[in-house]
Amino acid sequence: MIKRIPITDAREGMVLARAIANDTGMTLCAEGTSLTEDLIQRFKQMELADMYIKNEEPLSQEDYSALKEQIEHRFAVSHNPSSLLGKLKTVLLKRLESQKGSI
Amino acid sequence: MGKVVVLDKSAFRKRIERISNLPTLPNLLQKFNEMIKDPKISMDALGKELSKDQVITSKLLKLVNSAFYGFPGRISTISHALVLLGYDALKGLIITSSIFENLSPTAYPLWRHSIAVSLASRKIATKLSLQDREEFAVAGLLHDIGKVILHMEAPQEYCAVVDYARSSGQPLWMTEAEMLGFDHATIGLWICEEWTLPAKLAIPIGYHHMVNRAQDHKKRVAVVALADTVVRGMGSGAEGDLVLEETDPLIEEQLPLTGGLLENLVEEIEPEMESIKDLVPEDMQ
Repeated sequence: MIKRIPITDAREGMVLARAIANDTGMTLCAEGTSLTEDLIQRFKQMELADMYIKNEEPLSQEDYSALKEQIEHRFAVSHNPSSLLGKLKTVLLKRLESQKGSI
Repeated sequence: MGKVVVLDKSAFRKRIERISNLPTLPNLLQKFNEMIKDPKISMDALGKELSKDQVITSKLLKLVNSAFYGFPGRISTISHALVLLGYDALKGLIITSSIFENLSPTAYPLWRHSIAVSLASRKIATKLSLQDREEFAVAGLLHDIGKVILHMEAPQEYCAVVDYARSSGQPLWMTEAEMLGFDHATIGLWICEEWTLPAKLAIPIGYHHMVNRAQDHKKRVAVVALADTVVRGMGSGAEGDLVLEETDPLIEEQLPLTGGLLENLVEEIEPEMESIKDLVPEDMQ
């Protein structure tokens, strides 16, 4: 899952989920780059406000179940998987599934 | 069994009008209104005129660059803001932010929900290559403004409505109509009338729960309704709006939600919603 964090929360080892570009649109750091202290300092100097990092921590079984239940509750009236609501529910459940860790 | 809490519709309407006359109205909006009174003024001239006032300039730039508005990137001049937003959207943004001022913590979920729907509306407009995407963003920000008004002007009555909606599972806007005689979307329309915001902004605000009744600007209504649905589906509904109702087929008629677009949308909105999860108005200072 992708998280947007302010520069102040950036830590060494975090992985960029989206490339960082300068004001003219030139890519400075590609997606997938692992942050170093050096890079973080440079971004601070550039006055970069925030960035998108990858959060690959898998969901625990409890968290997964709780979140799944929430989705089911929100979509309780949706019975038709091909309606817009049904499609949205499917998308959300699929994403949740993909964030689950292996048992 | 729900208690009937009917508010006097015309009396409430009058209270809305009084809000427009509050002295706490920021100078920003007054000045802005004065300056755009001249229908012949060009954006360029307007930008130059507004830029002469340092206080206005700094307040406006702070607003358009705030997390509240969520513009992806930085807007560095008034003229740039005018080009990107146009003065209807800019005016709408000023109005929204001033109504959202002095929010009580119980309404923070509503504030975050509005920001999320604004972000989602902009993303949808962008993905579908619609013009005037900042107008969609502002409509999204404004869509539930009626609820903010109800919080402010009739907190106890509104609490009763929200409680009943939650316990009965009935959609909130329906419960509002039953118990108050009108719903938050209608209040949104009154606000738009009061502040002379054009139909392209007013209609999505007024019809986001009754999509099929919109006579005009159907695409805009569909975008805001879709944004609202997606955001609520992803868990950022405001109180009383936690269970989704079936959407109107008009949304899919108006918007080509072809393969993967929904998935794409959710993927892109997810990190934005994560980042506003704990946001509070004080962060905007």
